[in-house]
Amino acid sequence: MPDALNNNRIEQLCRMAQAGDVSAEKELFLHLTDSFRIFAQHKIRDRADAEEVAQDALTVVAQKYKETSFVSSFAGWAHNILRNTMSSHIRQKASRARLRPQAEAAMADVVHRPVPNEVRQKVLLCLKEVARSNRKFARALNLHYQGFTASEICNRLGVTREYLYVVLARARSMLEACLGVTKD
Amino acid sequence: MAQCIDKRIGDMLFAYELDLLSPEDDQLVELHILNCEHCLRRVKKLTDAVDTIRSDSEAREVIRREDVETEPAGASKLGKQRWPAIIRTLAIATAAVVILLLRPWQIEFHPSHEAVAEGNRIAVMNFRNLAQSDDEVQWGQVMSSLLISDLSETRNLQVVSTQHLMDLARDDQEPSAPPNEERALELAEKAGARWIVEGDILQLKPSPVVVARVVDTRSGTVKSSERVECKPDQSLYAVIDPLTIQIVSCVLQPSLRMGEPDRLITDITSSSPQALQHYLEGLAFRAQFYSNEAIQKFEQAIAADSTFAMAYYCLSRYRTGSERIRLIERANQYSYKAGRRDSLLIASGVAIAQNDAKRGENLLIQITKEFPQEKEPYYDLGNYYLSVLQLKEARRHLNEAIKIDSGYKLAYNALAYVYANLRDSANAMWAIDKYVTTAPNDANVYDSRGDIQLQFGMLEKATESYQKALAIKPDFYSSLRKLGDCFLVSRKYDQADSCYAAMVAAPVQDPYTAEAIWLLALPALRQGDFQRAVSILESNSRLSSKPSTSRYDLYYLRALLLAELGRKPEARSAVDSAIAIGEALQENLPYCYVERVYVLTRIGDLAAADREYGKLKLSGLTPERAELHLPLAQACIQLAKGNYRESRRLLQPILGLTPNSSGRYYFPVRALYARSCLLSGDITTAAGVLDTLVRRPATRRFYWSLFELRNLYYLGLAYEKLGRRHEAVTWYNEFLLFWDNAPLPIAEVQDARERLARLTSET
Repeated sequence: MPDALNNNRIEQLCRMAQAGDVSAEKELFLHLTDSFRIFAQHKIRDRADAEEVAQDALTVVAQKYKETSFVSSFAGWAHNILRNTMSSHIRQKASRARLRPQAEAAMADVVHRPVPNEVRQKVLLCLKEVARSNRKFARALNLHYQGFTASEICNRLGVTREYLYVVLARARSMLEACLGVTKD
Repeated sequence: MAQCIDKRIGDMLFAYELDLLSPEDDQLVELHILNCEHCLRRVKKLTDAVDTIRSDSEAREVIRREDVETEPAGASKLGKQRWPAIIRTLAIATAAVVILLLRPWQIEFHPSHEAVAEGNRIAVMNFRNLAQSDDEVQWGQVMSSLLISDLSETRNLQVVSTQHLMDLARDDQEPSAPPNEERALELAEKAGARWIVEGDILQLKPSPVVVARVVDTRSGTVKSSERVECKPDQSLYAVIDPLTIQIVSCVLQPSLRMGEPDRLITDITSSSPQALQHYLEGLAFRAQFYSNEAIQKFEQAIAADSTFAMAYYCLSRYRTGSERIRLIERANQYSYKAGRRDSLLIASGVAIAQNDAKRGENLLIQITKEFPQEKEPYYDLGNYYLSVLQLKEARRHLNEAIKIDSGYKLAYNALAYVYANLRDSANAMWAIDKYVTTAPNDANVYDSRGDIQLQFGMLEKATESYQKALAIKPDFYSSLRKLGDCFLVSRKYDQADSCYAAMVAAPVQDPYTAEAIWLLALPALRQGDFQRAVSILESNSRLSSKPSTSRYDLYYLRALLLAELGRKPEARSAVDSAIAIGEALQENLPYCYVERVYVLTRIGDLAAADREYGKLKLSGLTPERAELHLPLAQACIQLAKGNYRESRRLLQPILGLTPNSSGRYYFPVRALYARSCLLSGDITTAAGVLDTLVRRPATRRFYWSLFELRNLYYLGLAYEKLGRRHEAVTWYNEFLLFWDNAPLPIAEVQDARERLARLTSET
């Protein structure tokens, strides 16, 4: 496994790429592509749209990073570009939806690459197992499904926000173990 | 990729994926993922699962069914379903009551609380390490401590704490060694535990293997035996979580296991075994009051794990001022990695440090309610009440702790001080004797006995007690200091000097060194040799470098002495150095500025004193602080200007604001007030205040020796003016015993000699 791309490492890769190191540039953009896809899909549920937004943002980063001197860090700068691209996309989509409401509504829940059925079944089984052995997680997730915010969930459970994160982190680890996805 | 670069943010990953975070936290996590390869991989691997959980309606249905606390959909439907059951239950209950009434049975009721508590009480013994002959890390002890921490998170289980077990095993030759079967049963019985967990570490590398047994103390039989084997290269920590689950399922019924928190062991204590070992050793030293060693161990624990909340908390107990606040805040920062009880304890410490004593007290009370079978929470609460002089509450809670463990040495120690403060000598001596019996080999036992004896005026016995403490631990700082003080009172200056010199030489932390240095100057000061006292302070001051209250005291005492010697520029410079130290402490210390005013009046620079007072007035003091400090500073100026009535008027209300005899101002405020009364003609009041001051020891009176010894002269003066010649002669003589042989002339000494000669000849 490669070493951690820690804060210094990503900045170092950027500096090397700026100086013309092709392999550093490749490594840097591989890492950015993975991250941007995840972030975009987190905000924009449609996978195709998310991919498009991630690629748009990556193009901007690739075009500008060599001439830019970063005020804080390269990672922060690149992340800002992605957020701006996502914001424009969401705004454009909202304005399209106003113009063509029915068509957009019909497309709203479409996920272009659906989760394969066998994976889905396994996830549901594991989710059930985890929820059974971690009651607080089940309670928190159910409240989340019912529309409660994190603060409201904490109030209802009588726990701090940090503790809620720990409960969720623990559940996630159990889910990983159940799905056979080890933590490296 | 081995590790997440910031576990705190790593823990927020699922909350991010489920869209539970605020936009700011979202951004924080995304930046973290950009920088942390480990978390990026984890997110990628679970993309499909997260998609399903987020948007699949069946996932929602699964969770709705599994959430046992889901509220019923319709109350009326439930009502209909429940009625037949309620009617059936009522019918059965009525029939049972009728049968019971008709039959000539004798019904006895027994309280069930005790049985339930005992039934769920569990003691974890130290594990045997069969994998290593030289167990440097002491894995056996670490293992049991980790299990105790993890099991303690189970609310329906009463787990005997590590400290309680250490106390119970105090008579064993090697308390940290695993006890044999019989001894384990004895210890469990003493702790009131129904279950014992004991075990062996069979292998540490390449994959740790542990065997643990759960023993029923009533029958002595092994109820369950578990073998846990980790994956290669996993640490022993990986054993704890599965083992805890197995132990809990063995001793608790399924209904009691429902809804129990299931935090990972690394989430509630240190993930470094070295840190944990240092911490445990620190706790043992703390229980013996061996501060220096305890501090060292807690610092080592923090060096091994900079996120170890409880190590920060324990270290903060040894610090004062801003350093204490800094440490307690660090403890709070990492308290998400502490167990329930420890988190509450830290929260209470934070509240108290932030002057929110009520909240701190409430949190301590909450701990006693959540852990009613544990003695430490009662001790902590009792100790808190002792510190704020709520003595009856302190007594009540310390007695609760003793009810749980009749051999709890720390509770007896605190209780002795409670009774001493209540002026109940019989019970104070009883408590201290119990302390001696429970821990006869601890130096602090005799140190505390000395304190109690001193409080009841038994100077010689106290001296012997301190000497006994030092025979056990020759560098026991607390006893060295108090023994030095005893010699100082007895005017055995050479012996006092050797005690304080030993303190300066002792390998202690910086603030203590500074304190030892100014103590070292006291024998010279009390013999009137101010020049030598200043030399001692100057030649040793380089031994202490860090800013601390004690270092401030050192420089301020030097300023006072230089003022006595009439070396005005040097006195001014010394007081400025003291102020610089006070300011470096980053605390709002108005007393520093008030004390500068006093030095300026002593060197006769009243204009500068006035300017200093003006600055103090404009410094934005809180109303409480202004109420004390401003009149005090003004009183010093008025006294120096000869406006005695005014200084008396200003000082009178301050007496009520400084009631605590261990407070900084207790002594000087009363001394200045008495002097103002005397010089303004209120002789009776002056004599009363001075008489109390010279007879009743105050904690800091030695530091204020210049005030204390002059009080003897002023008391003689007051009695002379009242016509009580005999008492006047006594106090003049007492005064001259100290300063009669001073190498340089002191005005009061000359006057006392003349007055004494006149009174004696008249008699």
